[in-house]
Amino acid sequence: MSGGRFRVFSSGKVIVLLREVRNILDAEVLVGEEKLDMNVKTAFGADLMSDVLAYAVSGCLLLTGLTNAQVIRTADVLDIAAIILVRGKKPAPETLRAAVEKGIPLLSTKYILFETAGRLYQNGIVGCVEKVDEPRVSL
Amino acid sequence: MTLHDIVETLDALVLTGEDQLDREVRSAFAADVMSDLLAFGKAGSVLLTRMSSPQVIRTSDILDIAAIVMVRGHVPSEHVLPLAGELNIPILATKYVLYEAAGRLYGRGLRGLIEKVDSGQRAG
Repeated sequence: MSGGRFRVFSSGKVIVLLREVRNILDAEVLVGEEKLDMNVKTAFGADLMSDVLAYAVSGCLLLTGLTNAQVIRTADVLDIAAIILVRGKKPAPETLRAAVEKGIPLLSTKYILFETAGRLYQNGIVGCVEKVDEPRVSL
Repeated sequence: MTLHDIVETLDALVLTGEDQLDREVRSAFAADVMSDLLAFGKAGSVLLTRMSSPQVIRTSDILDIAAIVMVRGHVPSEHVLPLAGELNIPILATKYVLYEAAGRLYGRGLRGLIEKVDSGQRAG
């Protein structure tokens, strides 16, 4: 691993601040400037709401191209730490409003999903799930 | 990086294209919807996806995608594999979720087919 921005604690877990995630991804903070000191340990990437619902877990960072307000409501229900919109996506106005209302940090990066995942992974953020033996949803 | 390196990195099953594992790949990208595949797919790149419809195979053929990696244990239906075989498109299946697969391949030196989407570019 490279980068040196992450810290490994005695538990073996790596903690990265949301502020560092912003720097790594050269991201724009759309909502949640006051929450950049939040700790992030894991992430999940998907462009399908069904996958987000099936696999994203509490406390993870969600990387997605989904920009509708539904993604905020889903993140709220699943207790997702923050949302990173990839490929330079900009949220709809109602999405911004929902993020403010629910207090969920919303960032936008121009990196594509593959690059976003690669760069965060290099900095010690692992998947909130690693492998799936049996797909829980079959679409 | 070759397809063989990808198989090894992702502990993947080779569903089609066993004879093409020496093929060099230049870049990778992830798409879970057709519009992203159409907007971003480029010749010689690897597609990470959990889409597996015949349209995905046909579109990948037209775009000259080097290989398709089905993530998070997704396996295409039986009628899709013969089509991929016929069109000579390697399909690899890994149990890693998209984020982990992308992270591991990036760690081995594979890069995104583009880094960033410019504001003027269509973001599918």
